[in-house]
Amino acid sequence: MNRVARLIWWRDLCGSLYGSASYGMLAGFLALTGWSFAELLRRNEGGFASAQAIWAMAVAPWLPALAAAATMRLFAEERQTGTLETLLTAPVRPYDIVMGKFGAALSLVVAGVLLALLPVYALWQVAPRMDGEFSGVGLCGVVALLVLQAAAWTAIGTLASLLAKQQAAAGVLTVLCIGAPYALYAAALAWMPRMRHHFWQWPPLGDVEDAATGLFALAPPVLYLSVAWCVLFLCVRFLEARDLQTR
Amino acid sequence: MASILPYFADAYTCFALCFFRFCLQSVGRETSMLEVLQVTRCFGRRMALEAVSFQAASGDVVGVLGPNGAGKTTLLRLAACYLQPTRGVIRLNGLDSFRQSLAFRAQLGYLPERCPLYDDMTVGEYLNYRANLKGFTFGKARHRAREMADQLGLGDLRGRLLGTLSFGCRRRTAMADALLHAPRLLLLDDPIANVDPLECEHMAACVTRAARHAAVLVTGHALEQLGTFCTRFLVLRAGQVVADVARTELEAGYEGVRVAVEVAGATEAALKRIAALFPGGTEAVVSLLPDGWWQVAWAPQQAPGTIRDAVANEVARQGWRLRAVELVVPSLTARLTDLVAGRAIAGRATTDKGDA
Repeated sequence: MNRVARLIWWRDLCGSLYGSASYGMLAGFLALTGWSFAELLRRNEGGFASAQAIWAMAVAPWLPALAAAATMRLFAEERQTGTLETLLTAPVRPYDIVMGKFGAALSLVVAGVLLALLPVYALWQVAPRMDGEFSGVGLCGVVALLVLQAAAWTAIGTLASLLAKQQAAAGVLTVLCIGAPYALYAAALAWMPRMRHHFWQWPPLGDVEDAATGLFALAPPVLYLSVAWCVLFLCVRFLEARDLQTR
Repeated sequence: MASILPYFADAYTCFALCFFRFCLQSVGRETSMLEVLQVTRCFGRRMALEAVSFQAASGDVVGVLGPNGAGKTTLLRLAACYLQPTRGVIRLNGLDSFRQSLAFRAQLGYLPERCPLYDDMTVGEYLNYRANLKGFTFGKARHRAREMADQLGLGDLRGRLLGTLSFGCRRRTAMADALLHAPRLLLLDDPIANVDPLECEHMAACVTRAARHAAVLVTGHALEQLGTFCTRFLVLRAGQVVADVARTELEAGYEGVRVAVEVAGATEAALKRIAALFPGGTEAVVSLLPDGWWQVAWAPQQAPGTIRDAVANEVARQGWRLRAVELVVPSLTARLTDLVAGRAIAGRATTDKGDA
């Protein structure tokens, strides 16, 4: 990230933290992941799943929603207030604008993921007998994979924010873009139950669970990085086309 | 690879431009030239601008006038690289607004109509941020931001949040932003709307100062105020240029001038012949005033400066008594209003009355 992209990243991050919306968004995410974590722990009582796997399964489903909330203001808000006009007429490359804004949103999402570790830490402190169930390597692996997933979802949200005129529309578009493949997957399983033998779990959740149990593969990180890169490339091309006013 | 090449090309252009500017500055004769060539812009099926062409050099303050929806803001957005022309080319010192957009924008200062600013930043932070974006190093950016804030009377407001400022102060902040990097092309979209006369005067001084080294395009509806600092007027109607006239040319023109002469001792038929002395004008209207004096009025096709003496000489030659020669010369604002409205300029403003 170069100097201009860093400037835009810092401005957008400060802008996000200025209002109460970001804090509300993070609080909502923490509440949902905390509730999911507690619920999954309760259901798994006496089971074999490790604590970090349960935590990862509690966080991963809410990540697209957090990414949608963090990205929906990026371009849509600037377009509404008109500041996009001054930004795009400054001598700044579209690449720097996209990277700066993507970086700011990703920082918020990563902050959310790291803050969501608090219940795990608390559990670790209050239940010393669970010490053996936590694996530092597994936890680091799953956090790294969640960050990569977050990068992919955030990139999709950045593109949605660029395309949509309203912030809410951008958020809905992001959730739809990420949720549509899942809906297709669920529909496919419903129509063809035999597929369960081959794809027993939604792949992004399966990847997270694998990482939590120490099963690392190269394919998931490559996939998420590729998605992020391709979508950000599209964002740059859209900005370079300089035809935002007509959409 | 193909997508990376334009960045190298932009970087190369920037370097070449900086070197070129340095060379020109060192000999002290830097000029800038904006060329708008056959620019057309469509929004779907609607044509917002159609084959607009004009040029502006440094020192020119071009007032882009026209009724609402004429295409003024679109023209400025095209010149600001915010929109891409559907057809045609915009060049600044030879740089294409689309193909060499980065180098073009490096020489551009733009003040949008709504003065969009980040409400969560202070004036100082915002100007500092914008100076950094425009390529100043960290230290120089702070210095330049402070300098511009002081220059635009924002020195005491540097610590104030932009969201808490009045519209006038917000506009001054946006203007300071536009002027931060001493642009070669300054685009101001309605900069004097809703501002008090003092603010307007201040803005005019800023524009005049900036125009020493830049071509300035300014839009607006406040014709009286625009008339004080624009050197040229480009009138748009329905996306087309209907007039491109220099201010001096407009002021010196005789369109709309009306002459009214009051005499005694003459006959109606003889009076009508006075108007015939100035060929090309309208037919004279002769009327008898209540006090017994005759008034003859017509619109001449002649520069107004020479009329009074010629009328006085003719009246003296005929042996009549002359009470008044009234020249009704329309003000610049009236002429501009007529130009924008597409009317023939009518004499209906300042009166230059000379008693015989």
